[in-house]
Amino acid sequence: MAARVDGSHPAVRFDPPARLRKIGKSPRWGLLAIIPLLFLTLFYLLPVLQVFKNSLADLPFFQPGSANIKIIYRTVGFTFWQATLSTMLTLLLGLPAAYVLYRFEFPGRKLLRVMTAIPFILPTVVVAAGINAFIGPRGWANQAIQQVFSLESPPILLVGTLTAILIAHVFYNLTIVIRLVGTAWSSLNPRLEQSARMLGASSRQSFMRITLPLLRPVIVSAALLVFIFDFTSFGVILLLGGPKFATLEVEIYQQALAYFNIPLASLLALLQMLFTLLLAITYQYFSTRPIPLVPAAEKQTLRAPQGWKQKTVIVLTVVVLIMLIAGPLFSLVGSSLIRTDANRGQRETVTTGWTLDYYQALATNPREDYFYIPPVEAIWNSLKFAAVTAMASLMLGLMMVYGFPWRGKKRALMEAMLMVPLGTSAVTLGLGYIIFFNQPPFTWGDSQWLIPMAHTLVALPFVMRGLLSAVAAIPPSYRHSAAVLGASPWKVIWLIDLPIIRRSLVSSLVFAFTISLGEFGATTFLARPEFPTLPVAIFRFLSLPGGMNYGQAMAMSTILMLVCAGGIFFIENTLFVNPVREEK
Amino acid sequence: MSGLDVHGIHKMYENKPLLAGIDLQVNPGETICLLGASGSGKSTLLRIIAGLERADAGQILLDGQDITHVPAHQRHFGYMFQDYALFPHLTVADNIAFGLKIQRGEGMDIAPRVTKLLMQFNLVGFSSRTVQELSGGEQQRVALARTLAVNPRLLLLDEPLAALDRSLRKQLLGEIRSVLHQTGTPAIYVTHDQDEAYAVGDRLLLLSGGVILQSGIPEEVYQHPETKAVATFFGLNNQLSGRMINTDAGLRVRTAAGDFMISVGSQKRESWFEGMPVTLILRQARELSSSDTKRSMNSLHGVVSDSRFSEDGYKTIIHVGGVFMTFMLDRHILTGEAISLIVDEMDITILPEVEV
Repeated sequence: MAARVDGSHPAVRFDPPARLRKIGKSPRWGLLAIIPLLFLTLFYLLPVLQVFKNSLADLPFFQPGSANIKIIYRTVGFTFWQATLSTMLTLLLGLPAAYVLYRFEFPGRKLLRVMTAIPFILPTVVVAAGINAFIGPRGWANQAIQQVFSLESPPILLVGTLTAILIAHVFYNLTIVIRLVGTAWSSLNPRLEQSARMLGASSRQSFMRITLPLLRPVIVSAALLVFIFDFTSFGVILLLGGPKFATLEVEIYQQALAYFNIPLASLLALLQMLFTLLLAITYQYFSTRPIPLVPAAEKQTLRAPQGWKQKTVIVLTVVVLIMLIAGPLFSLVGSSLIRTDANRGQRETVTTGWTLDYYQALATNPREDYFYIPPVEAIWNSLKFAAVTAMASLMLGLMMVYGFPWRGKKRALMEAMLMVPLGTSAVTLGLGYIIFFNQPPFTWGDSQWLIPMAHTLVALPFVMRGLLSAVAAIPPSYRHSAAVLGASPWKVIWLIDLPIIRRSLVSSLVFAFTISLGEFGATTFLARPEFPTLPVAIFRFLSLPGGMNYGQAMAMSTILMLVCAGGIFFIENTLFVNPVREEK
Repeated sequence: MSGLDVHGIHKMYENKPLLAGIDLQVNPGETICLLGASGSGKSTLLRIIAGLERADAGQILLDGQDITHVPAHQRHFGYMFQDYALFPHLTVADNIAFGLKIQRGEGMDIAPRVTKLLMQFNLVGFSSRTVQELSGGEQQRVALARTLAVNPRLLLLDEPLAALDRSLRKQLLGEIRSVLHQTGTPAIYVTHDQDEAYAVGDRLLLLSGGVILQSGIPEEVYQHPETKAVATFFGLNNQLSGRMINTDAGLRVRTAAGDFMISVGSQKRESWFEGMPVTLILRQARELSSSDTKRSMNSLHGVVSDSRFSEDGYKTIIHVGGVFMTFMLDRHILTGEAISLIVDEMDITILPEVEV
């Protein structure tokens, strides 16, 4: 009885489909694999190998005690340090929240559960913008305190500190702990604890000796997953921490784009990849280990709170959760709709109040600047790239599902092949692209179409997993029946497989689309000033002074948030509805 | 007063009364069986006695001491759950030792006690296995050993055999019975199965509609159900509605299947009157043989609608007086054949039709 990994986001579902049936059997199917193999070679393997080559070729350049070595030590140290702190804080809040949300019945419980899942699906720039709108110098928390105490300057100065990064990481990844631990907790047979009580254990003793040991594996794997996300965090740290706080990802970006120190950037990328891969393997090891739970129906384990102690714990947790989760989300929307601050260069007194100016301004070029790209163009670019990404990853995904041998001993190899792109950060990918595609034979460095190619690589592993499990769930008897009735293998796919996995196809499209819309890491390397994407534009506007730019950044973030949340909501409500019933 | 005393337990469940004033006693060394259909609240009552749930009203006394508000872990009761609730992360020996460690402290030498229990319950080779490797019967024995390890003052068993298959159930029933008698621990055994109840219960309590309908030793409850509900619960489904036509010399009842004559003690005669609607419960019947004089009283003349073999005879369903009745007969009779049966007066129970 293994724990059910019930992630809201396909990204959490790292576990492979339990059983894979024979998919395609004629050797000709292998031909299908040629296109995705070419794609992976050109857009993944060669650029990444180029990064390796760069980092290893210049090894003599890294003398012990040199500035480069110091940077590496400092960066690796800080990356682990902030990830450890973030993970501990996330556990500190996530464990009580899991207990409250999955063991007690109280009004608003379900809504709260959904709410805590929202941040996880948001693009990283939106998270950064939301935290900024909440506790930034112009944020709502500061404005409120300034109003109440008539202060001249904002009292909370967290942006640019480690604290802001930690808050953002907790906000972002809290749902991993709540979902994974909560689900396990709610399926923990309450009679185990009661048995311990009957044998003389106090409630503390029975928690320490029974509940905690039983939940330990799932807590460890949730913590590892949170650690991986915090370890590879890029946008949040770049936008909220500033240059002082460089994790591996941020340092790669800085060394490559600010100092043009490609060898150092490459070496950092190599280190980053090794660490992530190691962490992913550790996670895989822990998450697939069976947890000895005697499952109970959730109804049995949910109960109304009793006594003032339990009620206090619940009220406190709910208040903290609402502050932490709803605070940034509402502040973000609020900042995009309410004017509180003077525009840049504006002299007259500011009229505060509701406004749609920030949204209207997205389409204008106020100073008729030739080089100014109005945000609406960024939106258009993003939509264009997202559409290409969605189509490309679906096509490639399908070709891989039908063209690759997903059975026997080769299956492990195939899955490892999927894991490697997952372990490669988007920043590394971006770095690889700017090195590889700026030299012969493929001098495509100026092309905007590198962006959707990078996005496709980011989306492909997730799309693959979705499609693979949908196709594997089709009973072979369907195909055999169709074949016996005279359908050719192609006809079988067309008439049987595709209609059955239709929902999965749509979900994959939508998911790849949302990933592309929010992608920031690789895009920062590839987006030229002439063709910014929405996240890149948000990043730029957020760093410009003045209320107008700030408001527009908030408006764009709000749009991005709504589109992504809508997309994921759509998937959540269709992904698991497959016409093929799972047979035992 | 020694033993367990439970007074006036009330409990609401989803705004409906589940337990509406339960009184019961368990004497030292006695095993009582709490019988009831599923949903009758018998498990809830057990959990209230254990301290795992709180009653809305009522009092629980142990040896004269009020323990109503004593938390579960300080009551020193044993509780065996239907699914055993063995700790899946501990070995068999650690499961058995759990309560000893908690109650006597880690430092105490508990190994001899654990070894003794392992031997007593035939678990010697299993001590270092995890509980998931055990079969259902083995798990049940570990659960029993774990519960008894700490010498509980009262043993509460919640359908301890429900998860097992039939042959295993019979065997373990015997084990539980002998363990209860050996240790002399007073026990409350909850079940919905009357065979289990007859086997282990010194006394039966039938819980229904939130109250104890009837209590007594097994024979008494079975022989003399006080209400139709009790009779139905014990599977006494051969029920005939009728009307009292004479109370002078014994009771004479007229039913659609014929007249029946029951002699009752003189002291009970006053509670019956002529014209009173009554129900007759027929426990068993035998075929009219040639030696029997042809009688019109206490006999049934019907048609066989089914007859099938079982280990105690031929289970025969007879259509008589507009109802179907089931009796065990000693030969197979073809469906559709007419049959005459005779019912001994001893096998008839008469109950007033209107339930009080």
